Amino acid sequence: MNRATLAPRPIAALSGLALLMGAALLGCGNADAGRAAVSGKVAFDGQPLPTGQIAFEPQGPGRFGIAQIVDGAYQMPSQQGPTPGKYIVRITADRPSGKPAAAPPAGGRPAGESYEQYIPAKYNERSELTIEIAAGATAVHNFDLTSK
Amino acid sequence: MKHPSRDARRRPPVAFTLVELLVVIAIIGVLVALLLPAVQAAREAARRTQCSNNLRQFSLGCLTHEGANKRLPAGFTTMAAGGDTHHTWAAYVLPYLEQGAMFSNIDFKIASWQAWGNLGGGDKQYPQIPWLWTQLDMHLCPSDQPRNIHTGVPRSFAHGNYLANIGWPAAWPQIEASTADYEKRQEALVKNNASDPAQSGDLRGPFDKVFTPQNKGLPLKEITDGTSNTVMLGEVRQFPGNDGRGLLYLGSGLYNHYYTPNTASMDEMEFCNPNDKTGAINPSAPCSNTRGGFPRWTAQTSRSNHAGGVNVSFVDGRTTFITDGVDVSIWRRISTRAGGEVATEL
Repeated sequence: MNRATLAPRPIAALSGLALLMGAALLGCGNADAGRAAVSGKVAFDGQPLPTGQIAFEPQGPGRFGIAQIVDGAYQMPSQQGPTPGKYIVRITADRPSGKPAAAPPAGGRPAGESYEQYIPAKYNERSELTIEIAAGATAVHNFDLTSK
Repeated sequence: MKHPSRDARRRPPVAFTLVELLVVIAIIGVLVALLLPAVQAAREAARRTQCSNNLRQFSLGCLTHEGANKRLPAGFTTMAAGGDTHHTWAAYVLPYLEQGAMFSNIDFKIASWQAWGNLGGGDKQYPQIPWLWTQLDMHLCPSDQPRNIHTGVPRSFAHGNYLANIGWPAAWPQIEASTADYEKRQEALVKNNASDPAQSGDLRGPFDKVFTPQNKGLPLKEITDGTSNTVMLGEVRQFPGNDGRGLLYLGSGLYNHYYTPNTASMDEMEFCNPNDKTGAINPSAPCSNTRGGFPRWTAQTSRSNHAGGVNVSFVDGRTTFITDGVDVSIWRRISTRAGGEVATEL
């Protein structure tokens, strides 16, 4: 029968196609490969830091790791995480300065409330905190900051 | 009459079988699937080229300004009284981008935002001051957002995808109460920190605030790192809604090199409503308005919609594509005008 003799060929073609598609998919590498997912807790004078930003700044080659701190905890998914290497940790947070917003400039636009960055410079501008990220790791790093 | 079965046995059948048809469709499908990403990539490549072309036009505009005035345009100027923003580089450069008509629409006796405030403020695009809200083709990178995506006050002010480089301070205040405050901050930007060389040097870029209503930008001779080693303009992204990133004519019309391109760092703007500090709205680009009140601390990282990097232009007019993975020390080095370093590794 004709149909019976034809049948094996499309199947061969189809399996060939399947192979081809599989090969095409294999070509898609992960651009963020090697970046680690990091999470942890941040406390300031024993209290969880309500809001803030934590940044891992590479010393030498590497990718910035950045996450926002919410209720004393941060989570850095691997897309935003650091690559293996040594990092300086910089933590910043704002709060209302309490001072009356310095007189809005004469004739300027109305100025809103005045905020200040209150984490000491040794944790951000002149940070003494360092960490090391291992390859392919899911790391936990906790930070206990003090105002003194 | 012929017998049908005998006829069929003599010649092969003329019709396709269902399986054959499916195979052909599958083959076509696979070919299209292989081709489509290539076509899309070519379209993005074309948009990126258009994008860097706009950036180059802007750079040449700044350099023509230098040719005519012996100075780059000022990053932004301040009002004589109070020190609030007066006008920005994006306005001063207009005549050198063949936008003389638009430039003549600007009243340089009053600040950019006063023109809007005097007409009633709010979120309106006032027909009397088209220069303040018109987005030129040249302002927009085709890979990023279309026109008219903003709401609230940002709708009244034009946004663009190209901003001027202020160097790598973590943030800058738009308002300073006195010349003394301004000079103190300028001094603080030239750091000499022996214990941490990464924190040393002159952090300032070729554009900054000048504490006067006069357009006194930087003469090229003060770019001692060399014009080919110093970034002039860079790409930023716009975000829909009440979001001030990309604003051209306010004191936020600059960007900084503190973080590497496209990093998920928190931008600090006057307009980011609602406050998106955790990145709930834009996970790749959180934005805080917490310090947007006096003295309006502002920070904006270079971002783009291109895969893996941003376009920047150097003060010599050259534009180039810089990848997200650029070493942060190099990224900071190329942002300074007089850091005393040369970025040869780029």
